[in-house]
Amino acid sequence: MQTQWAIRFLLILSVGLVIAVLTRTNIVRGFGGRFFGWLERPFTVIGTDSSELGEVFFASREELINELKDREEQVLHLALAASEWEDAERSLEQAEQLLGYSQNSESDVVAAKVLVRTRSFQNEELLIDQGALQGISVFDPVVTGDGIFLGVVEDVYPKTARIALVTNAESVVGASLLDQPGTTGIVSGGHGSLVQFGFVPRDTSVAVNDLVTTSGIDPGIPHGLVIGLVNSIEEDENAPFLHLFVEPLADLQHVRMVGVIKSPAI
Amino acid sequence: MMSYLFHGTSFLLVMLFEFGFLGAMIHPFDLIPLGICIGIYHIFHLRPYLGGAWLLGFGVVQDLHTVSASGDIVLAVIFAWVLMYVVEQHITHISLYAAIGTASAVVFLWSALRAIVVSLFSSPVPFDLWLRESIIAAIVAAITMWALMIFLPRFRLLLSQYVRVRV
Repeated sequence: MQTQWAIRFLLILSVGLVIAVLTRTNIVRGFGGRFFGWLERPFTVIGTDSSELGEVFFASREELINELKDREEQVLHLALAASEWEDAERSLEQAEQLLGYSQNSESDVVAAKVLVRTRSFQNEELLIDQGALQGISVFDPVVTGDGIFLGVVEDVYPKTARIALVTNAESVVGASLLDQPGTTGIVSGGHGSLVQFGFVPRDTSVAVNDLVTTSGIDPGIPHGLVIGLVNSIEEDENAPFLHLFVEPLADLQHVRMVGVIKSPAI
Repeated sequence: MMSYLFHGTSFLLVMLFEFGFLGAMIHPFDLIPLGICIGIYHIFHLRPYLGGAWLLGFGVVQDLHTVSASGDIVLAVIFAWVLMYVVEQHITHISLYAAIGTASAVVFLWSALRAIVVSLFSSPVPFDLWLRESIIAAIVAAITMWALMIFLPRFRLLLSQYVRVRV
């Protein structure tokens, strides 16, 4: 009986050795590896996901708190990076638009980057990184990359300039309706995100969504810069003028690059 | 024939579960020697050839998952033969605790011998590493064997009510 078991052992061992040698060959290893790799993939995915859950389940309170802090820090860094990336992308896009605008414009346009943005209900201003040294002067009009009127230069310093946006309470500019000659009225800020288009004669043909542009009456501000669209019309039978509210087309909240249209040298 | 198909399928599923699902998990879950424990379970339930086939199959799959030579197939043959011999020649019955102890010892020895083979034919395995892993694997094997001894017969009974295959 013992001999029978010994023979059986030797037989099994021989088979085992043959299989062991075979599994070391490239053909078996390659085929076996691919076969198991393909079948194991869904199991591995589930195992990895469960393992992450298990890490949370078996971790101590301190480990979890530290992990949470690390994750929060990572999220903060990623959010900052994403914000910087988005900002840079927007700046690039606006700079490209501005380049296109300045190439097509007859005026001399200085591209400037927005450094600081001041925003309150009555006072909306920008500080840009170009100033008197670049030939910018007070009352020069400022446009966005797609040529939409943004405001005028309020103060000029050697290397920077302060821009009063069209929505600023102190901002006043002559405006007209598209395709209507002459000055129709005055656009003034101080009404939140809208601007008031005042002193428009009652007999003027105007409708909501009509385009409002600069009239060119102000020195240095050319005619035809788009300001915005008529948002609402207030009509008082006793008043000699219409009061329109215009929604500026310039994206005032997200402007990163602006173009300052330099006044022609006298 | 259906029985062979059933055992072949369950072996494949267990291997995929062990090397795919458990292998992707963190310690100590990836040290659960499910294939070895099922092999020992079959041997102790007087199906020595089935148990031996499980151990041998486990050795082959383990070898395929190892880059360097680890001697898993030869170890599988030796352990299978020893267990089959002991079960067929020297014991008439086995208790739950003996099965658990055997599984634990087999897994510990398997890990230790495997570490020696790897150290001899490939890169040396640090002593503390293999000792720690072997002990954890042995403990986990004991728990796995306990679970198998308790739940597998019930599962087989349940299965036999719905599938007409002698498993």
